[in-house]
Amino acid sequence: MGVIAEKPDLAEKVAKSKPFTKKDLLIYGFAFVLFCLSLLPLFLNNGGNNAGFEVYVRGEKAFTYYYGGERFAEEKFFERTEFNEEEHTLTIYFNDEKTEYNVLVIDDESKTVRVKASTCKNHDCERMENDIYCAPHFLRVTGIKKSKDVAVG
Amino acid sequence: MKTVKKIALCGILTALSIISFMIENLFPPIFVPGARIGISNIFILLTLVILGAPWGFAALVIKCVLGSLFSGNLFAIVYSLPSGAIALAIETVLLLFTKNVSVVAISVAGAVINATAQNATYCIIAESPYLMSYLPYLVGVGVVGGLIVGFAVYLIIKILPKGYLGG
Repeated sequence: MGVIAEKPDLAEKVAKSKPFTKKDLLIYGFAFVLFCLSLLPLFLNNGGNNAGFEVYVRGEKAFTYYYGGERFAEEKFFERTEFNEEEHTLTIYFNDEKTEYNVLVIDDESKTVRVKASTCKNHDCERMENDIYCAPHFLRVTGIKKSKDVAVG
Repeated sequence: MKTVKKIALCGILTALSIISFMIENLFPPIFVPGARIGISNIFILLTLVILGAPWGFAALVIKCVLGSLFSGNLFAIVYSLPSGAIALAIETVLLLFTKNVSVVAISVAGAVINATAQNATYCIIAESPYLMSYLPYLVGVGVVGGLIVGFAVYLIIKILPKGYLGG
């Protein structure tokens, strides 16, 4: 086949190197520090303390739900949202034919909401809880935080 | 080396990257959204090492665009391209300006940076900082993926006959 490429410096450098060197510890140490720092946001996600959640479609608010039962749909999305009392689910439709949808299942006891079913391609949203984003459907679910009562006097 | 041969080699490696990207996309992510080993990065890193930075970036852009197009998820370009570019830039700097750092560690650095940047992009687009709670898992999967990719590139460069790369 013959030579199809000159041996560049980088390839020669890699070929002569070892798979592990002492200086690698700096990079692995950085990765470990980053991993530890990334644990901090876990303490921010207080889904269990949410008072409810809001559903946005393409940036517009479509539905609001408060754990305990109070709920209302925005006028523009009356026809695009369906709440099932028995299964305690909320279905949001993204087209008039109602072939594109996400089904949210709500748990009033644990104050959580997650996606039970969706017609999006990757179904990444089905692995999320409370703060949900479905990119193909431009659907966003955000928690409503409980307001703290401040004692005066 | 002649430019024609560089283009041919870059084309082959980019095609392999796209194929492996699409095959990996057939499988669900590992536990959390967006968590994948990143087998396609083997060929991007190989392009960077064998042909240099400009060819590496060209392969990355083509892989992100065509891979997203063929897999039917065009929106993925928004996440994959910026984070991939940042990771590849970090890898380029480490390869060029550091001594005695292995390609395995450089691959791990790139993978971790890629995971962080991708998650940050996701949070910005979704307007929800709470999605950063996936970062520990993504960093963990990134380290594993970086090790696999780095070892694969190291072995390929080691095993390739001298005549293939010249010398």
